[in-house]
Amino acid sequence: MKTAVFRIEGMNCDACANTIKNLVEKEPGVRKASVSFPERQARVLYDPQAIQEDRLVAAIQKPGFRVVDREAAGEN
Amino acid sequence: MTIAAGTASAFWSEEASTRPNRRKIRARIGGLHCSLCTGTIEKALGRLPGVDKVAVSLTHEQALVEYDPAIARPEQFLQTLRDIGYTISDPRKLRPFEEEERDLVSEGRRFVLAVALSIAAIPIIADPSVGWIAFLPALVCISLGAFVFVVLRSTGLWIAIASTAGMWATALALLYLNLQGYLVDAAPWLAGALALILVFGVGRHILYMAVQALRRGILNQHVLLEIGAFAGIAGGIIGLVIKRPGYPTAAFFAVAVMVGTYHIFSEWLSLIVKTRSSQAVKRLLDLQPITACVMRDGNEIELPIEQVLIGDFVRVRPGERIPADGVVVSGHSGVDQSLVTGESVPIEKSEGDSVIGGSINGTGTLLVKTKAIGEGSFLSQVIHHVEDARALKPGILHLVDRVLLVYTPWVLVIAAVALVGWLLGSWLASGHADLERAVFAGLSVLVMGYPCAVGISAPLSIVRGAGQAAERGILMRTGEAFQGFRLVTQIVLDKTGTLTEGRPIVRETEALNGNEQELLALAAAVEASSEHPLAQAVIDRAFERGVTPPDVESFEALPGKGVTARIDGREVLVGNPHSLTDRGVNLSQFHSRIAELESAGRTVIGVARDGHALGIIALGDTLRRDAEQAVAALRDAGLRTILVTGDNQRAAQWVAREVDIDEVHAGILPQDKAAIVRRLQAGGRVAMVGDGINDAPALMQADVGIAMGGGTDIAIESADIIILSNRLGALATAREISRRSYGKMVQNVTLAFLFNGIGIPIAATGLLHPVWAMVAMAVSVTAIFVNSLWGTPRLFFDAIRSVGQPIVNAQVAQPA
Repeated sequence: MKTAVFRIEGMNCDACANTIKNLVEKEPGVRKASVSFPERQARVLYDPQAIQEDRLVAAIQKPGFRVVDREAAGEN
Repeated sequence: MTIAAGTASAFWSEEASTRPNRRKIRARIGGLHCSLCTGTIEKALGRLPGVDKVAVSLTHEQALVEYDPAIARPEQFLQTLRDIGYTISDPRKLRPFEEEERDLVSEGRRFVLAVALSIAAIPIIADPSVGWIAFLPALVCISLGAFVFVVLRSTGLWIAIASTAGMWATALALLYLNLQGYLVDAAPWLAGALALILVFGVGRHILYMAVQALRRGILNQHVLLEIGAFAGIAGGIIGLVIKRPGYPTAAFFAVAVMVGTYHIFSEWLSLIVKTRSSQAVKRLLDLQPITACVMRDGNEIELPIEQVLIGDFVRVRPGERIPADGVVVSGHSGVDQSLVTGESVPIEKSEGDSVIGGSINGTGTLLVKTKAIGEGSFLSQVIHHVEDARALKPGILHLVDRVLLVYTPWVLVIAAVALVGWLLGSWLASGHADLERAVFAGLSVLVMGYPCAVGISAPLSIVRGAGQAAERGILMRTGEAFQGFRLVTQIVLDKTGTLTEGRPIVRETEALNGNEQELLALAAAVEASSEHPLAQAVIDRAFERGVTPPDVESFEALPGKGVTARIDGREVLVGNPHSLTDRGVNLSQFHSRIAELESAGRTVIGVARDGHALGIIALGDTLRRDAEQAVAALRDAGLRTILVTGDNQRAAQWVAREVDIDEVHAGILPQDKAAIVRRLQAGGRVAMVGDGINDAPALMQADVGIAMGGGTDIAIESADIIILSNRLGALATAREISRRSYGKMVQNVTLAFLFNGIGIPIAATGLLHPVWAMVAMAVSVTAIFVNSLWGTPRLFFDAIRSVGQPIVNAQVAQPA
């Protein structure tokens, strides 16, 4: 299990954040996603053996949002 | 309880009674026309030797008879029912949707035909010599035409326009001929023909129902209608025989046509109300065919649930509903049984554990060997209990029937008094009896006596009430919802999913070194890899708190105990406190806290790293946000609140204390919930609120069953009221709407009887032209329409327009 944090541009409101959350949670291997509009970021808990991070980025960018930065936030 | 299938014939289903040496049969009865019928059947069957108990439900058209098989035979009951004119059919067959729709369309056609006859009759009797009042029925003519347009609108705009225009044109042509004096001789014959066509042709079924009712000794509205119609026809025939100028022959006939038309209209309206609500419920049900993934010959195939056999191996994937009762052969997963048993915490199932059909699989995949299908399964036992409760549900004598019980005999008495009074009076005054006047007075009373607006008074108030309820996310489904809810003095509430959210969340965390963030992060990281039933709740809380779970390097699930995982090269263990202690973790500093939390109904898990305890996390179901307020509102309304749950005493007591409930029953089995409701019913009318499969029998048994919109299909089908918005506050609102709708119904019934009530004594004088009976009809019908739909005519037209339309755009709000 791995948690990834994406910085996202292009969100206008909480509804956009909700859209991204629903899209990402539909991807196989994603256990939980939370997207914050005020922080302009998404946090995704996923199984790295079931899905590549690039697919997550693609899922977020599909409706026109942009992932500008990503980090694996797990190592604390 | 075991259900013996018994000897089931095509006409009834038979089963063992709960009492020794007794049997029960259940039959579906056709031909119930009013709420008085239930009493008649109960009396007729109760008189037979060997019969202990008879229960009849009008809404569901079912009878349940408990009898001593040594004395009585079921065939005998059915013969008795047939003798008094009811039909019997198989209780297991439900009326298909298409049949309901066909009935509605054919009843609509009947109404259009009746209106055509009325519209032809009215101009024929228009008589300028009677004065302006003779033209008042023209108003009726126009409004009836408008109704035809609305009814036919769904079949096509041009058909509707053409039919309505054709009717009005015919009416105008007849009026012209009449005013020109061409119809003087023909009018009585024309009107007579129209009356006969209506009473014996279009309205034949009403005549049949009236005869049946009379045979059973019931004076209901069908009987009253036929009395009025026949009095009209008799009056007309007398006119044709005596041929006296100025005698209202044609008017008598026309009255018969009009009362028939209004009666058919009200029948059609009630049918719409009934069909619409049952269809609204169908929209809510999950209509997708239930399939199961069955292993046959080494392949997995998708089969309809009916084709699954006992002994089949069924694969249940994460999130799927378990299709049948069975035993787990391989795999392990947390199974949510709350909808079935009312227990709110998912239960871990692995090899050898039994699972119940209808419960929802968690995150693991299970291979289940089926043990019971159909009749013997848990679900079908619940359905049996629902069926029993259906017939045992206390009936409500409908307001209109209650009034008619008194009103009809009075009309007959007054008519007889008028007849005898005029005979005697004229004989005493002048020496010879004025037979003609006496008969005229008697017939006028009977014609005047039929309050034709009475048939529309209840359906129209329901149209209004149901519309208002729908705007607030409440689906009022049956007459009980409107007439019964205001009488309820006790309300039974289910716990799981009704007062509580029905799913566990993290409620408390205790970290040894105070670092709750780290505790949650580690627990979430470990749980994320597992399929533990409570894992999702822990992950949800971690994300809610903004905690990011660290990456897991490897993990191992210990079924029934917990999970271990490697994080940053260290071993983290998450599981129930017992298994942690077993693996050498010292949890002694948490002992008292764990005991305290568990006694409050929580499930506790512990977290340890490298063998050292880090803390504990307590999970539990949580109250709905509006639970306390909603229960308080119910208490303020004077209702006694009772909590009934399949869950344990601890959890039940906790909820009862939180929201202030008067009485608590915990650990209740599904069939016993209905029994508790039945026992409470001895002390007053009872409403039941629930959402699970296990609540269904109780929902059916209660005077008013209320299902939450997110509930299971069987709960929704068993309920009278469905709360689509899923808000508990709607309970008090629904009761208020029921109270107001009943008030409207009383007003309507009063209006319906008022005009005819005033007319009767006047008619008894023998001086009243029959056209006044039509005026009374027109005025009372208009008054009721205005009273019911003032400000909201849309509700009415929406209801009518939907006839014959396929259900596509489900307008019902999706449960939140």
